[in-house]
Amino acid sequence: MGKALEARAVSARFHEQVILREVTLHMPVNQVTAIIGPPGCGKSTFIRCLNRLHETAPGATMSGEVLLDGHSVYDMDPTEVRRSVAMIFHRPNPFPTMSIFDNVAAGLRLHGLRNRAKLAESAEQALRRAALWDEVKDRLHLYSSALSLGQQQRLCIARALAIEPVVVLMDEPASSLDPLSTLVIEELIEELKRQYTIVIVTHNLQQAARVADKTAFFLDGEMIEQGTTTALFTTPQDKRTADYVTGRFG
Amino acid sequence: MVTRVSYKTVRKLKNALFVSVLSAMTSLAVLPLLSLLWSIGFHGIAALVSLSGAPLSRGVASAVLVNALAQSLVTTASSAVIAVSLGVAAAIYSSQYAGLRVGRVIRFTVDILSGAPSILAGMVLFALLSGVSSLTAGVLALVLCMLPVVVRTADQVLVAVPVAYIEGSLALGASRIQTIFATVLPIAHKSLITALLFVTARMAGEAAPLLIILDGGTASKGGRWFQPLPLRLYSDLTHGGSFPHQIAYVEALILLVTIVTIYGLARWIGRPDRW
Amino acid sequence: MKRVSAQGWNGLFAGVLAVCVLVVIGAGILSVTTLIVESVPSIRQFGLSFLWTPVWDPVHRQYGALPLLYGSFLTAAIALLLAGVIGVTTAVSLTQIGVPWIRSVISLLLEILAVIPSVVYGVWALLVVAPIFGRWSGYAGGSSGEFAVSGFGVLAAGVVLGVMVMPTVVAVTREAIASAPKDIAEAAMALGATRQETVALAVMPFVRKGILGSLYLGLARAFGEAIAVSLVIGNQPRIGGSLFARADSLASMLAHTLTGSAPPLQTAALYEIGLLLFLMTTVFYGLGRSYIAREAISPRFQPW
Repeated sequence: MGKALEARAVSARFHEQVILREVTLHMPVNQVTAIIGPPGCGKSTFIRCLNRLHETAPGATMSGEVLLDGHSVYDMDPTEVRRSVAMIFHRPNPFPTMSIFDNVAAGLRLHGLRNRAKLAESAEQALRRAALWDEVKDRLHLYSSALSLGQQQRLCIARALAIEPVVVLMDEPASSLDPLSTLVIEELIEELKRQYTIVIVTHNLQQAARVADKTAFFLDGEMIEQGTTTALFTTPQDKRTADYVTGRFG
Repeated sequence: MVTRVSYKTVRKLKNALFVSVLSAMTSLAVLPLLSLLWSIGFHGIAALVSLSGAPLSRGVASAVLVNALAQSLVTTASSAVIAVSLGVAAAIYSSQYAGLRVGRVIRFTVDILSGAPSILAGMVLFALLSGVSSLTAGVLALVLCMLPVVVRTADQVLVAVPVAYIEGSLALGASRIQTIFATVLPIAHKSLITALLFVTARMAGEAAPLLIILDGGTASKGGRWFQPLPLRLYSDLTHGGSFPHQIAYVEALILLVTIVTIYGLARWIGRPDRW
Repeated sequence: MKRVSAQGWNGLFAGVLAVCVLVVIGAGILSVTTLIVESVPSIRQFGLSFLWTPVWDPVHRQYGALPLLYGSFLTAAIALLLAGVIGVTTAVSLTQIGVPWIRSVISLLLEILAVIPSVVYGVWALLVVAPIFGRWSGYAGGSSGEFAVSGFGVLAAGVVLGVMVMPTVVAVTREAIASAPKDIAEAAMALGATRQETVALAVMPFVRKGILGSLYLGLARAFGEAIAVSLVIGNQPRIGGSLFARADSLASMLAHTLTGSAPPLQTAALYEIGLLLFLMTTVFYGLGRSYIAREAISPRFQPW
């Protein structure tokens, strides 16, 4: 089961430059929330605030509250937050110095699992959930670079799922993939939302329309509008949203 | 569940240990510098004060010092002018004209030479001039030392100029020369000046290449007059069993201040632009 | 009057520049040739055994490089141990932990450390570091007598060299860490890794080569350092076997012995030492550079 995530008045900046202004957004349990907007609108920074990754960059600061199942993640140990709130990046980033198996096991080992049988079991389970098991089960010892880009991205998903998160954040997960791999990832998201709460950042409107239950539109660091995907795309309340979803800009 | 909690603690402790070891090591890295700056700053200023109180020795000491400083200025400036003009010209060739293979040969040679110890330059000129000692010989030794470094750094700066600008200029019908003077050098001039000032700062403090020529040469037998400041300092440290430490501290202080000033100037010129 | 065409000017300009290149390369070739020519008498006299003769004795006209190689390697080893451990950890902390302004202050201090001339290090070595070691070795009681009091010896020289080499190690390692892929480090953090785990898992695997390269560069620099070493190593070319014993290194020997009126054979032997020094530093330097991508080094600041 996933857990709900809620952002309250989240602002973020790099040095003096303000990236995000007071964003409040509810991301419901076991649904896919899509965040759309033109490049530079702060959508990636927003989800990086959700798992406290934003603060690791030099000069980065944030304010506001992020609640995971009602508990503020900024009161928790950051490593525990990131363990519960997994993240998939816009470019596949498996550890290049590790084998496929070690990649999936990396997070489990970090959190103290040493038992080989259990590691193998969890890794297989994660790879199955990421729809990658059948493609790699005979070559788990190979370096991750032996995989195609699309497979590498699913490997990253498996790596994230292995440590049993409750929320999965995806930062344009298909932006560097070919259309076929994109389709596979999108089908996977449909599948995953039964178990996890998913937040996906995308600049691809059709993708948001296809996978998301709820959509929020960001512009220049502010959240302009949010609602069910259907509502946002068919009856936008704000003119800027209407312009964006009808392709007049962005 | 119990084991997981304790493992979390272990991880946290490990991380805390990591951070504290790193901080300790970093302080250890800075410690020698502070010790050096403190000892030379403190003793240097103290010596300066006490020397200025003794009228008899003051005249001699300051005459020697001023002489050494003036020689330093002359040798550093003239070797810098020669090495920079020759070196930058060579770097323009290697970065703008040379093909891939020729460029590689130049860079390889210059890389190897710039890694060579500076004392060897003094030895080479000592042998070539068969022991004749003069400031000119010292200047040549410094040039020999500086040249490869100048070419290497200048080449790196010039190569970093984006090809798009060069192609843009050539596409407008500019000749190679026009492109170099109107596009490449204006783009690169700041980092070029910074890099060259760094090299000059380093050379201003070099004693090794001068040592063999000026200290071992025939002229030094008569007196100790061909002695730019770094060399003067070195011989103050080596000659004479009970040399006055005070003079050495004063000289070190002057040298340090001069070089850090050049360095500061270089950093100031090369400071990142603010838009 | 005929006007020179633009093409003519271009050719002339390129020609002048090419001459400058030839001068630079020619000067290099001339230098190496000079070192070889000057050392011919010594090479004739001693042959290859120069390398392993454990005596440097001007009185009996017996010259061997082994004591100097011993001194060079031992001091460089101490220097690299110090600079390696402290330098690499400092580079990691300058990129991974700490408050930004403290980081930039420390970086600035280390850059200043790199521009301080070796003769100023010499002042510090002679008047501050050596006395400390003198007192220390006096307490240790290992080597007694007047030598012990001065503090001159392998250890003092090695420690000073370590300080001189450290900025190089820090700068190169830092560049290597900075060019390590950020997204991999973020992947580790996103899995809940601590700083320490992130560094071990996702940063260090990418900087091993850079560290190795920085150590080779440091080795080259340590070997070539003449001035500061000659002031505290004790200037006695023998194989003492103790860290407190006096010794001499290749470069230091050149600094304090090659002064004009030496007998011809000694001068030739010294030039052979110079040649040896050139070959060794070139190998170390070349090895170092081969591990470090040219693009990974900022041209602005190169402390080696």
